[in-house]
Amino acid sequence: MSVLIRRRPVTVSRVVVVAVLIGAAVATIAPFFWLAVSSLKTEADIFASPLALLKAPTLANYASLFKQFHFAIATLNSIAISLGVVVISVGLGGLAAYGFSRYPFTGSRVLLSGLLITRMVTPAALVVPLYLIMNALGLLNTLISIILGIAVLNLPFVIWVLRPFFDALPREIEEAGLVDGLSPFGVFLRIAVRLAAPGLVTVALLSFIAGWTDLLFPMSFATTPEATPLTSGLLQMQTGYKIYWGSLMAGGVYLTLPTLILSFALQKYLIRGLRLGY
Amino acid sequence: MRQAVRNLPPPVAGEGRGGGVGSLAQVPGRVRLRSRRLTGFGLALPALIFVFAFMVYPVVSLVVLSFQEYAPLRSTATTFAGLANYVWLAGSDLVHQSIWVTVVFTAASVAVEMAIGLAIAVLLAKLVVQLRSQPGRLLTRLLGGVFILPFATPAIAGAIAWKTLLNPQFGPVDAIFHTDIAWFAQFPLASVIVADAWKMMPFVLFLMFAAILSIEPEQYEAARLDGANGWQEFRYLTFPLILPVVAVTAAFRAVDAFTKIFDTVFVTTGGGPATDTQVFPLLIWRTTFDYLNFGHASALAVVAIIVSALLGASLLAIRRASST
Amino acid sequence: MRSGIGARILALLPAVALILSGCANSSTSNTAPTPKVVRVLAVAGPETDALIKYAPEFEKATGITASIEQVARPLWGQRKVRELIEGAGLYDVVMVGGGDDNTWVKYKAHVKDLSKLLPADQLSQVNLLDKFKIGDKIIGIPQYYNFPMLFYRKDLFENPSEQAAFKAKYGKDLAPPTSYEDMYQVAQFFNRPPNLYGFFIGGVDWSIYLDDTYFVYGLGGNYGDLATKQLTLNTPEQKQALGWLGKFTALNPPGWQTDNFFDGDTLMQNGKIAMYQNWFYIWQTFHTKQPDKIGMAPLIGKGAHLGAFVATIPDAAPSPAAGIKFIQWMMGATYQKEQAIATGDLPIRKDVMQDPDVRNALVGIDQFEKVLPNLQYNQTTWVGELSAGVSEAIFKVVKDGTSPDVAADWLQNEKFKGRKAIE
Repeated sequence: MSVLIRRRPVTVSRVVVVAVLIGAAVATIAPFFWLAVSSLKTEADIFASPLALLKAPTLANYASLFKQFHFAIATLNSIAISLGVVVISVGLGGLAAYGFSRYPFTGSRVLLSGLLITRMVTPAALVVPLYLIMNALGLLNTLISIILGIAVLNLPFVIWVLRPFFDALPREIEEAGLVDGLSPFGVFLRIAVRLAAPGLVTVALLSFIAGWTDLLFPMSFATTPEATPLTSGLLQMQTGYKIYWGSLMAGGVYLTLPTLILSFALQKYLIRGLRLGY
Repeated sequence: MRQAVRNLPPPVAGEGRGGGVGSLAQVPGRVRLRSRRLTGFGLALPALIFVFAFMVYPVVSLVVLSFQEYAPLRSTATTFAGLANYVWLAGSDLVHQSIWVTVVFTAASVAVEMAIGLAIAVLLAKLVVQLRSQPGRLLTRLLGGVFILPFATPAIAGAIAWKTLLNPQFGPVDAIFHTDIAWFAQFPLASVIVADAWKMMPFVLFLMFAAILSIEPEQYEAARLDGANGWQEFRYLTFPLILPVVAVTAAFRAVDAFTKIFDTVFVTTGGGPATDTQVFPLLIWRTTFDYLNFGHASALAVVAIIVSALLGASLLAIRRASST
Repeated sequence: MRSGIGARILALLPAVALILSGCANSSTSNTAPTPKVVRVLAVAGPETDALIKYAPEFEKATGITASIEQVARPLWGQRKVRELIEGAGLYDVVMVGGGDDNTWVKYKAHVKDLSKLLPADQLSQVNLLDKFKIGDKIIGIPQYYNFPMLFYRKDLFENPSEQAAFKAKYGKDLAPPTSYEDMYQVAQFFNRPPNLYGFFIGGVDWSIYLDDTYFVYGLGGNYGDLATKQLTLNTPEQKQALGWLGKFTALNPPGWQTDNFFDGDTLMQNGKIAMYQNWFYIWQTFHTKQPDKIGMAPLIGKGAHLGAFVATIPDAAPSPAAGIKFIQWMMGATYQKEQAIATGDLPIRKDVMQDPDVRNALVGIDQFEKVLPNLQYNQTTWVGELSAGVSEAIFKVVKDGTSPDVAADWLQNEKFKGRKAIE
């Protein structure tokens, strides 16, 4: 690093920079922090002493999630939905992105532009016909309908993000694979997938988050506890006549923790995914 | 794998698209080209079929339904209604108000998250550049993890967190300032904007961050030698250089905000009080599932999709323009 | 290293996803009717809590498991329609709202005629059964009766110095009001911010719509006319109701815009308000905890909002026989008595109304009996959308200061132009 000519102003401004950043970080984490702290109080304490941090921590709210609000099934449902979205998005999207990248065909550019536009579709608008279609197919109140809904809006995004990854791969290895007698699909599966693994991890992560955090499709398609995942499950606590604040907060924390851990651990992939998505 | 590379025949002068190699050179260019195209199409086909079945076809049926009347509360029959739904849409105050609310929300939310995201990105970039030591890198990684939090938080959880924060009876904001303002009731749109800007800020932040980092350090050296302070450095050096990225990001965020805002509003204000925060996606949902008027809802949805398509197309244009 | 593993994981994921979704879905994919379970769709609330609490008795008596599902109110509307109009066939019993769903269930829903499925001697015990009949068809059986009453600060009303001051100012005795004008005077008299406010009306849309119904029904009006099938949103009664809402909300404690009637309960208990109207379920709490502080009087006027969950059996019910058994238990004397004592709501049965234990537990039952015959329900088939519009009109009056006449005319002639009460 080249020598900085002026030392003192740089030092002062560095302190300021760090201070402001830490302030911003505190502000960013404040809502979630407060949610977490409040979820450990009894509902009476929440109302009685709002600013008290941890008077008498209790896990009662978390227990209520499982006793009263079907969170055990909901967790399984969320996992199943998220995995389903990942499978469809990465499977179909990976193949398509590879195809667009390596084997462009007439109209592939138009299709890619079309994909970008479909990414902008208002989900609430798509729910209207999909609801009627799922109803006609008898798929309401099943996880499949939710997975399909989320996946169809996620797929264009995945293809869009993955294509640059495949573009960046060195062609020689793939061509060598073709020489060795692999079909293009075989090249894809054995070679391209391995080489583009970071990109695939990125989109898998983004797809998982899409499935885990979606509210609109579960809320619209599934109303029975058997098919309700965590996101719309949280709505049970705002009954319209009473809000179960303690459980609501615990549920919010419970819902966020997995994506939080994933995002922190896989920060690198996530940030890359954000950048490429635009 | 290594074996395959070793066996690679010397490259033949490029034939057709993609540069011919190996055994493919023996196949006439025309045929190889067609089989390549077919392969590409075949690889993309499953995805295309999927999108066709669950997006294109539904949208087509949506358009058809928008010319019909189907309201189960009145009748289970579907009758042809011509342009009636669109006439209603054009004249309905409810629709106009919803569009207006959505526009205001989009403009304000994007402005806030761009400003905050950009500011933090600039500072974070400064930090990364200046701190090369181990603790410095740890700090950066930690900060990165914190700033990614709103992105990782599901929208409904974020909405609940803000509801808690801004609750007049037990929220810390009112407790600290000794007020009892019911933020989501008295300043509904502003509160929703704050909650959504918080959620979307990481997108802006990390995009700007990457853009700033891609500026060569020599430029900063030159600026410092010229005597520029922090603010001047930003205004005359950093910002002009990242302007294309800023423009594209703002455009993307605007389109996303306009078309996808739903969860936060539904959970915090439910569109209220009355219809003060009834953003367009929420109006569509309410017309479908509360008022059970699928004809009206379809017309609204078609308009939303047209708007999305137009915005998406302009986005493509901006993107193309800014990358040249 | 990664070669085989990656592919294996890729191959495993679909299997895992399928297994999980299969596990989670197994009960809904089973379409064969199982007579051992009765599926009930209910909405979250204390009355549903009572159903759930005493359900084991039903289960013991019939050997049928009661699966009572509580749904949040915002999603209840869609599900009711799915079951009762679109015939989704997931539930044997669907609870609907007696006051707001009554009309659309009668005119639009596909429900079984309970007059043919329930014994006549039981049916004859049900109060106000006619409210749930269209022609001779009985569309449902109510689970309980609840309606709003007026609650006031008894200690203040009986305070001699207050009485003297009131008499001096208005020239009449301080007593629970019997007209809206009286009520307004009393509210103004007791409006002493910041410690005491004259009245309370919850400002959340669905809560304020309810208060509107209290005034509208009290004045003898309704939202639709069953004979002409027209909307009646700008009748004199409607305009007066809006006017009263504007006047009374001006005497509300701050923050009322986000409150609902449950918050009113808290405010009354904390001594912050002098009067408010609410469902009488709260009377049990008031008179046991603060008998000298809070009093109850009949709601002013000619009618009150019929509050009830009504049990219907969809035509598409998978096990209607189980549904019938459930309803028979629910309308039976044993459960009605238990529920009345537990929740403070009125039982539906005439015999249980006379039970001494019940009369002891439901203090003020003699006042309830006076109101019972005058219960009203919304005479339109689309209350979901209507109430949202009514709330808009109310907000025009209470927030924007629009005149009630203008707001009511807007509601009838612009907002819901061309609409009918029965559509």
